[in-house]
Amino acid sequence: MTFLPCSVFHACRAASTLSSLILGLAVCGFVASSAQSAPNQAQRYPEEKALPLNPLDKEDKAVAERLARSDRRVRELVGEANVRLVLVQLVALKPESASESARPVRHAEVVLFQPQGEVGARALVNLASSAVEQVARMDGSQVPMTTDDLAEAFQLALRDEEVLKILGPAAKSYQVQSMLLTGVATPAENSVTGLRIRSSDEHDPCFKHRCLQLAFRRGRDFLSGPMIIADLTAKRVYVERKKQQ
Amino acid sequence: MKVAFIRQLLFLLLVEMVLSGLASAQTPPPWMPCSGANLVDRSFPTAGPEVTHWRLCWETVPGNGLLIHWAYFRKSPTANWLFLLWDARLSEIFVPYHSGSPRYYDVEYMFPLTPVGPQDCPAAVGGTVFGGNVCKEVHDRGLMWKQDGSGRRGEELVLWSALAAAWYNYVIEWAFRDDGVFMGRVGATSSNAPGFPWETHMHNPMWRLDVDLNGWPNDSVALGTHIEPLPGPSATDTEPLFSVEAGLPWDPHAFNSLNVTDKFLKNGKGDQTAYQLIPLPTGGLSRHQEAFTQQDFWVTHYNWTEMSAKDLLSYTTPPEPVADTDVVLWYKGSIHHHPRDEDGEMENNYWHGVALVMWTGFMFKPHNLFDRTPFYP
Repeated sequence: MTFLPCSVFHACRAASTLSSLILGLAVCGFVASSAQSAPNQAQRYPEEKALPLNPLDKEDKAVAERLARSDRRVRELVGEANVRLVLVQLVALKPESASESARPVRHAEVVLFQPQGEVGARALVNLASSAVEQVARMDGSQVPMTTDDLAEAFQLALRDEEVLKILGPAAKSYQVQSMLLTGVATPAENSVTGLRIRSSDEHDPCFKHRCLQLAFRRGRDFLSGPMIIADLTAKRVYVERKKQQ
Repeated sequence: MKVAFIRQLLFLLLVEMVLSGLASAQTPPPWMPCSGANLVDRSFPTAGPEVTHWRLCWETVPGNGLLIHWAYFRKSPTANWLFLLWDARLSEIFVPYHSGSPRYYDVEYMFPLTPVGPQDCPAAVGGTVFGGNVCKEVHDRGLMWKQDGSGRRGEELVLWSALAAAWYNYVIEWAFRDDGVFMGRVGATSSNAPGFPWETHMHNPMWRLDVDLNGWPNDSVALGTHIEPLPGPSATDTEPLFSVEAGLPWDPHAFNSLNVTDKFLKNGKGDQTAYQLIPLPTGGLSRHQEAFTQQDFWVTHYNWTEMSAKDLLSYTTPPEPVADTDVVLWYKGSIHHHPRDEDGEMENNYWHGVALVMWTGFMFKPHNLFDRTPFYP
């Protein structure tokens, strides 16, 4: 059964002649059959933000981080002081039911990292109910690296005499590359970036430690030379020259 | 007078029938969990009456880059929308150098996306830039079929963005074709390693594809296998099912594919519908000492926490059943980068230059989805 919109109903009533009534019936029939297909497509969600797979906005991220940081299980894992935010991301979590009416609920994954203990916590936050649904421990080796790690690695490197020698007078002019790239690098810009590195040699500290190789950039070009590797676990810097050099 | 009235009545009834038919012919679009620029709705062909249609969501995140969520395909305006993908993403890019060190994990650093603008996503190729770092292109994809004097060209929708991974850029591309094919590619480009720009290395992108054919339960995966014993003239094709989670090598001589089926999904002829993951390697597929690189295909049971390709061995130990359930496919491609003079040169102790894009990827192709191709008269 389909109910017609009022305006259409009045338009139908207004048809006074027989032919115009028939025409009106035809139009009504068209509108009615259109309306029959409407329930599936005409779901209106006034707040687009509420759609579960729309990207998280700043407010969502702040809420998810606050809920995660205040969760008892998370605090037991990483504590409260000097805890770094690694990521807040949307999680496309499947509903338990596979029926057509089952819809995903807006969730965020929050990863926090305690650099002193090198331990992380992953929290699954239900943004619809403002609840932390799951918490899992992460080893330091599992926690992704961010600009915080890069900044720390760069500071370690700046305390190393060999690195200062390699970088020369421009050493202090390098800036940590932001997570937000906004344009083409200009030749005058000096920036430092990094790549996560893992050794396959179990005798190498970077087999288990959190290690980051630094790369120094001037505009589009990268400084050549030995590999500068910051071991964030051991708080050391290794300068390695490859054989072919 | 009476005859004229009857004629008028019949004409109007005909009009009503046509209008009603038009209104009810198209299957209504399904509810989508995204909106705005993150919702892509594209019918094909781009000109003329609609034949096929894609609806999907996308999102960008640091690290993994451009993700696809919740993708539907409709094979004709009156057909049901087919749910195809819950989530498709690049899980890891593993980059070992030939000397044994370094060995980079390029997705494990939360790299940002590069800017994208009209210079690399021009409107002239059907490009639209979203958010300054995602390009959507809708364009011709070349010949679809040819038969003597007649033929037809195909079209596709492509979404791409590029990860700024230190001195490298990785172009992450997803293509949705008019014929129901879905493709993933990664292109490695930008600068060679500044300290050792001439050392050969491998870029291994690993994709995680949460395929939910016709919804997420009831899916199974078979290994498409071609067998041609030699010497001898004959060949056979088999499709052994994965009963439990496992990793397997791709054998180019066996034309291996991962064939996903849903036990309730058949076409109008009653034939079982499948979607086939077909590798599209450029040159070859690598092996390294890390266990997760020693297989090309993996099939796992869905688990939202299992997102990291380097942990595949632990995800599959002990192996869980994967028949008639919710499955996830993984595929590793390889780009063998043997540096060449064209890549750049050293200028005053700085590496200056760019390596042109080198691609690898896969195709996810329907098999017995249509009763016949709708693009042939």
